[in-house]
Amino acid sequence: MRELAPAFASLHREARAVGAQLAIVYIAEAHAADEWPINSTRCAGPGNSVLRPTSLAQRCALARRMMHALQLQESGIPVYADGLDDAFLEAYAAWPIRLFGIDRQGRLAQIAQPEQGSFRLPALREWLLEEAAKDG
Amino acid sequence: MARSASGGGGEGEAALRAAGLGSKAELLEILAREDTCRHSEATQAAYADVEAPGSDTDWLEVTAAMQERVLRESGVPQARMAAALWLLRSAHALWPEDARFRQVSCWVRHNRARVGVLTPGCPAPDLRLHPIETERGASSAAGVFSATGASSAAGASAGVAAVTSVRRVCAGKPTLLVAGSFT
Repeated sequence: MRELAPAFASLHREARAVGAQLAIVYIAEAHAADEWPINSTRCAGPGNSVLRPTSLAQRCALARRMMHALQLQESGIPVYADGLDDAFLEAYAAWPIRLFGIDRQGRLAQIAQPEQGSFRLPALREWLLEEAAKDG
Repeated sequence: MARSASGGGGEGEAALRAAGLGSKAELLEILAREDTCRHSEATQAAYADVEAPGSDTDWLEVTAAMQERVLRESGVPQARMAAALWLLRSAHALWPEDARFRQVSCWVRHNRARVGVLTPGCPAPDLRLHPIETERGASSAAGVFSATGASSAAGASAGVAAVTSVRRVCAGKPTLLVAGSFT
């Protein structure tokens, strides 16, 4: 998420201007300190103190903390938390990071797979803007 | 991906021989040491030093070096290192019926990555989501209701997480949905 986040705010602004949007779903932690700790910059960063949330309130608080850490708290990007049952994560096979393009009809048009540990955001941006340009 | 070594023989036994290890028990001991080392201050400090601006290494390289060190300290000669590394990383797949191999390593225990069953063109599953309030306000107030049926604002003030759904979030707009976590 840390690698991708800097592009999210501008992409969301661009998308909103044409009637599309970017939204974030906060799912189960990839590298919680009490599960599979990794202190690298790309994961939690040095001094990773993020623990696996054990309540929905904790999960929602972590989602807010994530938005602050990614400097997206004022981006206007809507953010949602998966339930503690991880229903979204399971149905979408979304762990640790996945990007999905959903069209106006509610169909999955894009299911982005990581390539060499990252995602090709330009291709997803292109899809989003092209989709927005189609007649609603 | 490695296949099961059914009946205690087959691919798993061949992998043990190639690595120069005598038994699954010996491999389990090495995996336990690897897990301890992975959580150690030294390894966590090494993780913290990578991926920063100007660094050309990542956490996977730190992990690989740590695994090689553990194997070397466990008596694996350099000539068998590649086979031993493959065995260390494949043990849970070589013996899928043996729960010990799924439990001993945190990276296997907590790895939830799957290909999944969704394909392009299929309806996006409509799952429940909880809107998060940020400095710019609550996400997607439209169509949001709390778990108790109260309004979003009332639910939030009462400490009840509000509820919405993927369909309500998308609301007929082309949407790039990003799923991820803090870490």
